[in-house]
Amino acid sequence: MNYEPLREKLQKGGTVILDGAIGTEILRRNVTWADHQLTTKPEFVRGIHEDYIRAGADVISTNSFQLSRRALYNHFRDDAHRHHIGAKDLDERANLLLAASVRLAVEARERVAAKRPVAVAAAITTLEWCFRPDLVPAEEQARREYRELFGIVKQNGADLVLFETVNSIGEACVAAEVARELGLPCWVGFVPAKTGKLFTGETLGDAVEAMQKRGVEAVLLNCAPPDDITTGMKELAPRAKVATGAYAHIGRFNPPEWMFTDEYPPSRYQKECAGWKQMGARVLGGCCGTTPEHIAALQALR
Amino acid sequence: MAEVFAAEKVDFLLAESMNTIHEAKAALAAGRAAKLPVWVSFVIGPEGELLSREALADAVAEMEKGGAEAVLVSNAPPADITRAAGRMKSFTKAPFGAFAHIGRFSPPSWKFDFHPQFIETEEWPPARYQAEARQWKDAGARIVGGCCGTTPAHTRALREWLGRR
Repeated sequence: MNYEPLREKLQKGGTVILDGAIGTEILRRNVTWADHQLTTKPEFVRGIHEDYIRAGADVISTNSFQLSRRALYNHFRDDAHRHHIGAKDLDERANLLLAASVRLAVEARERVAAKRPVAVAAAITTLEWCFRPDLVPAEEQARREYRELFGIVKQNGADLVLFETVNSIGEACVAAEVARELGLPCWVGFVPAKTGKLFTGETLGDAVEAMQKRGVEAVLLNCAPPDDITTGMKELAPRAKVATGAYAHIGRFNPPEWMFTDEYPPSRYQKECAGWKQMGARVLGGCCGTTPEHIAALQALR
Repeated sequence: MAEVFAAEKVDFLLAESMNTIHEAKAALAAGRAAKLPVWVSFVIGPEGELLSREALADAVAEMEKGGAEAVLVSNAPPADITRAAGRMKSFTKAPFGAFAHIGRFSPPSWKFDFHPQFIETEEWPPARYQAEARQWKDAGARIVGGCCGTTPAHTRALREWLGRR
């Protein structure tokens, strides 16, 4: 179990450094995103994890963004239509890839992190589009899906669930409850809007209280530009009894790709993170657009 | 969208892969309003009707009423297209057509990414596809083509069979 050292560090008030982006890092290295490259280029994905470990990350997160049956199934009208025209392995593919994403991160740790504790976080986001709280599935349906997803990542060796890019308190509660039921430590990353609230209009104060009640061990802000993270941190930090943290995206979302910009080179991003640390953040990392160089620059903030 | 296409001087609008009658009607009306000739193609669902389960016969009738110059069946495996094409003559006296997809839809694992990927398309080489398309023509189709998974080689096979004009 590689989570205990992290828990101790947070309890002692230490700073934990996360990894940076994986999806956009795949694109930045001129490889397409298709099928997460987990079975087509496993050594390439593992190599990115290894680069983040070498850059000093205490936590590496799996390459599993939206890797769920739902993401594959919602291209089709229903089961009958999928079975009629879809690839024959679609019923199993998402779960096999999800398992592979965890195993690759675990392998990366075994290869390059032998001397220090590095935790593998299963990165799971909302079941529907992460910027669309109007699409959140009904509670019991969501619970069934999270049981399946979290069960797979636990079985394959994840140390914690990083439930990230979350847009509503309701879906976060369901995920947190399922993680607790399965005995998996859980961190939750909410997306702050420009207003410092969630996209639903719910407050981060209410969000962190709901998470604390459900045993979540860190509440983070992620997948927003640095300025919005700063605004959100002002709301979150004063209300939190658990550890807080942040990882911003840099650049612009250009669906389905990412537009890289040079607005936040590692040194400038480090200054943003230093500001969040002063506000109380104890978990720092990078979201879309960040690179191993950004994570290396954060080492100075320990 | 129809206005953008009209401004760029397309020859006509192909409102394709429609899955409901009401959206097809809206696309058809928009094309007509932009003074473009309009063809409409409907996805054939596993039941042999529209993907919405509305009757193909009703869809054809509505498109004719709205001024479509041709109605086509598309975006389904060849055998499904052959069955649907075989029924079209009883629904309309206007030109109709057919184009099938080949292989199996293998979507990307990420929702934000939508590049239609079809696998196992090698099961439908051009010669086999051409033989299937002959059945569509025999059933009265006067427009044939290829949907997802087909290639210029498939189009060439159709052209060679039908001859130069």
